[in-house]
Amino acid sequence: MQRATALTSIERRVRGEQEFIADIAVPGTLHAALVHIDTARADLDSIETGAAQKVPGVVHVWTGADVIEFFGRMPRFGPIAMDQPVLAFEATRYHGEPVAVVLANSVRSARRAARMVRVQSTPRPGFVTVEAALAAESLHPPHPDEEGLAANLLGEWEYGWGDLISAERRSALVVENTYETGFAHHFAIETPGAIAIPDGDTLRVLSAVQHPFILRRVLSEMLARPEASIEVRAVDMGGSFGGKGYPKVGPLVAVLATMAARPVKLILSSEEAFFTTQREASEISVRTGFDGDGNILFQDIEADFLVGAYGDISSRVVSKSALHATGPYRTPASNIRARAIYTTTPPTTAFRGFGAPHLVNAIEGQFCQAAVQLGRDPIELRLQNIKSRGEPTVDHETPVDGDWAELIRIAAQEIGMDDAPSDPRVGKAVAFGMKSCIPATVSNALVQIREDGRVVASVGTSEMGQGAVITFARLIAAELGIEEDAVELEMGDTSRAPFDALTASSRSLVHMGNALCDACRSLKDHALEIVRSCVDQNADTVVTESNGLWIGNWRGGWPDLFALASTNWGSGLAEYGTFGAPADPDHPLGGPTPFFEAVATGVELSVEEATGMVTIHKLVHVTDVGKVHNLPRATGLDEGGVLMGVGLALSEQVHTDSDGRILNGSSLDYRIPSIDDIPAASVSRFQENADGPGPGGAKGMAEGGVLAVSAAIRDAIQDCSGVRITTLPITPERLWAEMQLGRHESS
Amino acid sequence: MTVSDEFELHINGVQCRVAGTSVTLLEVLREQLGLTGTKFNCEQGECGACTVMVDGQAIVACLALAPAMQGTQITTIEGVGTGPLSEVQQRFIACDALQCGFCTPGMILAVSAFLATDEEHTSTGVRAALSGNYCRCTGYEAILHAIAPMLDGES
Repeated sequence: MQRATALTSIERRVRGEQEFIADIAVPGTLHAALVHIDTARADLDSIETGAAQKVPGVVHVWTGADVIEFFGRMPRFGPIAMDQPVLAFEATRYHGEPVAVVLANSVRSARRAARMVRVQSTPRPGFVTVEAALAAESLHPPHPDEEGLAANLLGEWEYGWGDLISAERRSALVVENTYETGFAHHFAIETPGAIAIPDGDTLRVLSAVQHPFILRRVLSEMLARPEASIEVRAVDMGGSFGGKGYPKVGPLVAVLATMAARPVKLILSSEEAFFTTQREASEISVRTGFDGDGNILFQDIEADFLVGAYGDISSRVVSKSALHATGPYRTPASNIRARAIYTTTPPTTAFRGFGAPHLVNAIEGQFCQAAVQLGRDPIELRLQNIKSRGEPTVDHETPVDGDWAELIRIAAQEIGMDDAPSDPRVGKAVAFGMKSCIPATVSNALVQIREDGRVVASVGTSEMGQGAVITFARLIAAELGIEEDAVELEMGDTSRAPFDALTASSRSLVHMGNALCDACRSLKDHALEIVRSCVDQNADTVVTESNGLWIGNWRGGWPDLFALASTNWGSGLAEYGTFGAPADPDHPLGGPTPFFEAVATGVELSVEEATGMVTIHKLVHVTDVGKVHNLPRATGLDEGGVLMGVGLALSEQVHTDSDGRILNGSSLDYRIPSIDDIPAASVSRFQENADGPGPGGAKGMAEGGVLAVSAAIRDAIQDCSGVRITTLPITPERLWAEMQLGRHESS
Repeated sequence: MTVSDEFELHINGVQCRVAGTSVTLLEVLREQLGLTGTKFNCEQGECGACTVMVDGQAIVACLALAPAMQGTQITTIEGVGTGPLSEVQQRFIACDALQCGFCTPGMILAVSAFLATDEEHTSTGVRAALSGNYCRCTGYEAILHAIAPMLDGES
C-alpha cells in the first residue's frame, strides 16, 4: 500500500503514478461485469446464462438465485437498513439494478459474456414524482416499525416551534412558492470500484470508498462474520463528492469473492456509475410570512425528497437537513414537514451538501419576491433577519458560531450590488447558505515517530482530493517541529488505523485534525519526561521550532532526543490521539453540530434572449472557515464546489421517463461544466475568525460551494430578465420558453 | 489472440510488443503494458481522461484502434517528465492545479500537446484545447493559473 507524504501525494498524481482502484492488480483476480436490463421496474421471468458461460475466459455466471443458494438467503446491505440485495432477484426496482454477474479472466471476456446473458422480464409501472409515488403500490414490504406510513414513504419528520397560526394572522405578506430540483449525478471522473480478496480467515477489501469503517461494519453484518475478520482499505479516490461514501460496489464484490474463493475486481463503467450514485430530487413548498417592516414572522416548509428505490443514507439526509430548513434567519414560528419518498430510480446517496442545497435554494428564493412586494432591497431584507453570533439556532443545537451577516456584506460588496446599474441585460444577486456538520462522532489517530525522526501517522480518513494528506502532514509537522515531508500518512486502512467514524460532512480537519494534535501533544509530553529524567529535571516547557524542540535548557530534533534517552527509553515513540464531539440524547440528530458551514455567494450574469443561455461574468464566494491551513487547496475546493453548483443550477439533471428509465446516463447527454463554462472572473474569500473547534480555530469546509450559488443564479436571472424559474436546472430551453411566455403575455 | 495478432507500438520512446485486432490503445496501455497512468471514465471520447499524445497530437486512447497506431510515436503520462518533472508538471504542482488527480494525466497531456504546436499559444486557444478534458474537482481556475505563464500573451 502507498504511504503518502505531502510531496509524494501530489507528485505521484502529476506523474500518473498514483494508485487508484482500477490500477491495482491482484494475482488470480476474477474480473466482474454486471448484467442489467433496459427497464426500471420489472419482474424477472428467466435468466439464460448458457451462452455467456461458453465465452472463453469466463469462469462463473451467477444470478440472484445462485447467490441465495450459496448463502441460504440474499445478502443485503445499506448503511442504515440492510435493505438492498447485492443482485436483484425476482424483480428489479430501478434502471441499472444488476440482475446477474459474470466473472472472467479479463474485463473484455467478462463484458462480452455479460452481453450474452438473456434476461426475460416483464416491465412494471414505475414512479418518479411525489404524487405518483404516494399513489402507487408499495415498492417494499411494510417494515414493522413503520406501521401507518403511507406507501413508498421511507420516513417523515416534523420540526416546529412557536405559534404558526397567530404568526400568519399578523403577517402583512405571505410569500408562497414551490421549488423543484431534479435528480443529479455526482460524476466523479473516476467511476466506483472495489476488489475483495479472501485471504485465509480474513477478507480484504480494497475500495474507492470514503468510509472504510462503515463498509467494514456493513460487510460484517451482511456476511455474518466478525468485523475483526474483515479489513477494508479506502484507496485514494478520483473524486467522490459523497457518491462513494456509503457501501455501493463493495458488498457485491465481497459476496462474489466469498463465493468464488478468489479475488474479485469490479470497476463500474460510466453508465453504471449513473445507475449507482445519484443526488435526490426534491419538491419543496415554502410559505414565508413577513410583517410590514420586513421581519420574518414564520416559515412553513413542506419538503419532499425523492430518494430512489432503496434507503441508503436518505433518511439521514432528509431528517438532518430539514432540522435547519429555516436557515440562518430569525423565525419566531415554524412548521417543517420533511418526507423521504421512494422512487423507481437508483438509490440516491450522500451528495455534497447532504440535503441542504435544496432547502437553501428554496428559502433563499423567498427574499426576491418579498423584497419587490415590500419595496425593499433583498440584501437588506436578509441582513435585517439574519441571526448574529451567539443567537440560538434550534433547540438543543449549537448557537450561531460566526459572523454570517458579514459574509453577505462582503459578497455584496465584491459583486457590486450597490453600484449603479450599468447594463440592463446584466443581473446580480447574492444568496446565503448554511449547513450543520454531523454530530457526536469520534476520530482517533495513531502517530509514530521513528528513530530517524520521520513520522508515520495512521488515520481512518480517506483521501478523495480534499487534501487530507497534505493538511494533516502540515499540522503534524507544525506540532512536532519537523519537516512536512518527513511525515508519512497511512490513510483509510481499518487494519492500520484506529477507528474513525467517517470522512464526510466537512468534519475531518476538525475531528481528525484535533485527534492528530492530541497525539502530538502526548508525544511532546513524553519528550518533556525524557529531558527531565536525562538532562534537566526542572524543564517544564516544550516549545516547537521549525526544526526541533526546545525543552527547558535542551534543544534538538527528535533523533537527538532518542540518542539522549536510548538506554532507558529506547528509540522511537508512538501515541494515540482522539477527538469526539459530544452526544445529546435530547437533540433530534443525536448531538449539537460541532460547527456550521456558512457561505455567501454573489453572481453577476447576463442572459441571451435568443437562446436562453446564461453567461456568468463574475462569481464571488465568501466562506467562514475559522482558519485556513492550506490556502491553495481551500481556494480550489471552493472554486470546484461553486462550479459544481453552477452545473447543478444550469445544466445537470438525470432525466427519466415516467417509469424511471434513465434517458441521459452518459457523459454525452449529462452536461457537467467544462473549462468553457467557468465564470470570466472568480473571487474566493475566507473569513478567518479562529472561532471553530478545529486546530487553530478551524471549521470544516468544501461543501459550501453548492449551497447558495443556485439561488444567486436564479435571482440574478430574474434581476435582468424578469423571469422567475423555480425549477432547477435552469436550462437554456426552460429559460427561453419562460422568456417567450413572458413576452407573449406582455404583448 | 494469436501470434499473428501481435504488432509493435512505439510508446514513450520504447518499442513495445502488443497484440489484438480490435483492441483500443487504452486497453493496450493499461492491460497489456501495465501503463495505468492513462485513466478512463466514459470510454467514448467525451471526458478526456484517457488523453495521450500521438505524433504530438492529443487524442483519446479509448477511441484509438491500437493496430492503427503502428508507426506513430505515442507519449503517455509515464513518458512526460521521465526523471525530472516537465515544466507543465512543475507548474501544476506549484499552482495546486489538481485535487483528486484523476483527470490530471489527461489534462497534462492535453496541455503539453497544445504547447508543442507551432501556433500561437493564447489563453483562448488553451481553453479550446482543454474543452474536452473534464475536471470535477478544481473548477479549472488553478489549472489555468498554472498554464498562464507558459502562454504567448493575452488574446
